Amino acid sequence: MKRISRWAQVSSFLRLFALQASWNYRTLQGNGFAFAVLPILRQVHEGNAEGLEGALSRHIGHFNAHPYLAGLAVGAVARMEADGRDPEEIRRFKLAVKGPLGSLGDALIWSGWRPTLLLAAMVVGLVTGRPGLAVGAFLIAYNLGHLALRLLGFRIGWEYGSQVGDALRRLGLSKKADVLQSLGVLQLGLLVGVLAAESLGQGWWGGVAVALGGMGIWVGSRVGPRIWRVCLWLLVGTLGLVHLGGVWG
Amino acid sequence: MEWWLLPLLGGLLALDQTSFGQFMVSRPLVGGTVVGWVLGEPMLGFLLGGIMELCFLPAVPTGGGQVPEGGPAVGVGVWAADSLEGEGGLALGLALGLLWAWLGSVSVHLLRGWNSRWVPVDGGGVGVRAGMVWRGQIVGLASDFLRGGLLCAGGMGVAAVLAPLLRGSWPLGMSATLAVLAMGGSLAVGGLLALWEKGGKRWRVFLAGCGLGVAWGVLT
Repeated sequence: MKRISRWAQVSSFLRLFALQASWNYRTLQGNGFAFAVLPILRQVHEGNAEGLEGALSRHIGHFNAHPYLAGLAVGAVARMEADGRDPEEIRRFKLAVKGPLGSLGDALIWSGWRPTLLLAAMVVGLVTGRPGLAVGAFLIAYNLGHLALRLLGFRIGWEYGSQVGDALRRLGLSKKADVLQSLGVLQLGLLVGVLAAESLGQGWWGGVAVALGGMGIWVGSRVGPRIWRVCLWLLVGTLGLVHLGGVWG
Repeated sequence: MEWWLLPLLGGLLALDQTSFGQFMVSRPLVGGTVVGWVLGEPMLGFLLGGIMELCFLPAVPTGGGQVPEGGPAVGVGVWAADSLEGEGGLALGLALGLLWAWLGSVSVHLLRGWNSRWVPVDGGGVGVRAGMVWRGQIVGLASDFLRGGLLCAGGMGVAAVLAPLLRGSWPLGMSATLAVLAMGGSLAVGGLLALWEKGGKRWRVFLAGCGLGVAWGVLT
């Protein structure tokens, strides 16, 4: 294995934060991937400009994974490059790993960690009346998990290279996503309960709000996650019309 | 607050959501509270950001799909709400914030097309210099920052025109306004439940959470 300096590894890891800087419809995260792996490629192909250019042309291609877990692929590919593995094997590895890393990250982070902590922050802000505390606690807790996952992914990738799949399975991230989503449902219930109790104390209109809310939850659950579009346009339309009604009335 | 600070913040929030880091500073709940705090109204920012957050929670960005962009939009929303004040301000701020979140998602789509012009593509074994990769990254980051700033400044301009025209026109009191918002927000809550549903088990967890929340609300 070609010796790679600690600094090149750190630099590669830090560049992962800009993985999506040039996200585009031709190569998706491809340019960001090449940017992240570049410090290691420079050392692998030291004194061989043609070799470096050839390696870069292989890594700018189509790639897309969850940004927090993409480090796992970058670390593993960097390790395979340092080990002098066959370019075709590396290409096949990238192709195989991007889909699972995307769907696992979506379930674990976008549908688990993030909404659960955001809902908890909403409950804390409403109950304590201290929005700064709620938002500050959210940012700290969320980013502790975020940074740990990025670091862990890159380290596992670098350590295990092409065998990264087994190491990933041992982490049991799918189960953790499941637990996080259950916690999210509980937080959502807590938030709705706190808001309902608050509304019922507001008299007649509060009762109307609770009834409308109940109906809305039922309708939303029938339509599914794409309801956010309906929600957006319904609110924009209703608020706009009531405002205009007030102007002309 | 100096007017140009908000577009600057909008640019940074756009970077966080789309191009750099994803530290979630750009989430409507966080961005709204930060902008509210800068304007001296942190609770207003938290409320408005919280409602926008609830609407956008079911929107999961799978495979680079389009989702509403809350960061610069919540800045516009809180700015508008603060300009008009009261229930009418909340209504205008939320309507503009949601509309700008949609415009934000359209502008991200355009940005991705723009980025395609600057990134190197695989030329079938033709060498790619490191400078070409760097150029793609720098153009992407700078364009995204500019996009967020312009989006925010445009929204502030619209809010500055609308706020004097709509002053005193909102006919509903706070309770009725919140009832309207509950209607919209609850649809998103249902959508989120559907996203998390697992053979009916999670409805029971949700209802247990509701019970705990109501008990907390009544007892305190």
